[in-house]
Amino acid sequence: MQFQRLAKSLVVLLLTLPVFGCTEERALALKTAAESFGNKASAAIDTVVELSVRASLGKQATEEVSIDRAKQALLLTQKNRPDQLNAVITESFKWLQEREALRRTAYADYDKLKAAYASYAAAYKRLPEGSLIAAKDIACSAALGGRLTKYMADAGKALSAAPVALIWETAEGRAALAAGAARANTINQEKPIDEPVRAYVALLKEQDRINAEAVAKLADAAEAGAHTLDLIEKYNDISIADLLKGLRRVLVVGDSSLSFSSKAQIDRLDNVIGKLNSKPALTGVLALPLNQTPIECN
Amino acid sequence: MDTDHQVVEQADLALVAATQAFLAAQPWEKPAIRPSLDDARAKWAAARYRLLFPDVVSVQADVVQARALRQRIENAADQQALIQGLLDLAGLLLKFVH
Repeated sequence: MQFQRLAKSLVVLLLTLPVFGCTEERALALKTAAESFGNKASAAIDTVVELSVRASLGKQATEEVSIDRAKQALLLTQKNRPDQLNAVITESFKWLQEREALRRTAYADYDKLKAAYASYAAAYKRLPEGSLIAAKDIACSAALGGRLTKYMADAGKALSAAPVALIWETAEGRAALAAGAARANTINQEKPIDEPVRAYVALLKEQDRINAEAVAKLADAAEAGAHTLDLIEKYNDISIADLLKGLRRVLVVGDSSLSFSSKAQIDRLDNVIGKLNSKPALTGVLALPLNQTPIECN
Repeated sequence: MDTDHQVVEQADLALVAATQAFLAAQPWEKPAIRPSLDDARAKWAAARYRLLFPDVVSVQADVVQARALRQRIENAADQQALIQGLLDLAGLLLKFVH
């Protein structure tokens, strides 16, 4: 009798284990996908900020170059305008903090944006413990995830339409072109203008390259967000095999994205936007500002 | 191209001209230019951030003003004109700060 009861319990356990295991795997897959989306979004935002900081301040000079510039400025001022020496001392060492100061003051909005993606990913952190998602939670995550994904896609399209100009380096390049042209005319030879022209062409190419890299990262994040939404949407119906297949798409997206052409990147972004617009659950939600809590989450 | 893009495009060019003037300035002239250049750069960063959102915050009159400011900065005859141009540019770009 006792043996029969034990055998019965074992059968029940064997039958239920795959079910619970399956639910936990689903939850883990979704958690991993959401975290991957959060990480890719964060990386894309960092790339956009670094692009913008470089645009304003140029490439970070080496300490030796900065020290040399400071020495020259101080020597020149002491010789010509000693009354201005204190102000020039302050100015000459601004390079030590200016990048961090600019990041802190001008890019605080980007930090808030990163926090929004991080909290979205964090919402899934405890999911494998509970393993089950209520219908209301699915609607809330879809509404939030849809908007966060759309933002990445919109930002990618906006950046590809209006690439960030490398202001500091363009100014340096133009100054070199003007000086080179003046020198070439003075000595009546083309040689002094040759190098600045080549350097300017290289700068314009570099500008295209780093903007394209930022667009690619935004597209990576947008695709990861869209795939995560697919997993959320089909969470209760999808097979584990399909769920893991979907997860793989989230995790591997971006591996080859940097080699895509600009047109291919825009196609990727358009695909994501098209996909979002076709989801009935997201109707009327996508246009809401990112800082507004969707009604589904109340 | 919407008005936001046009304003930022003019701001890009104005900042290139202002940065060129800053780089060409004597070391003792730079401390006077620096605060207005930093301010304009910070507002430009905000404008760039706003461009990543699909909504538009500027109007055609802002584009006209941005063009005029860009010309003023490019043609600034002295340091004071450059500083004033940068302050006005920062004022215009304030529209993008929310």
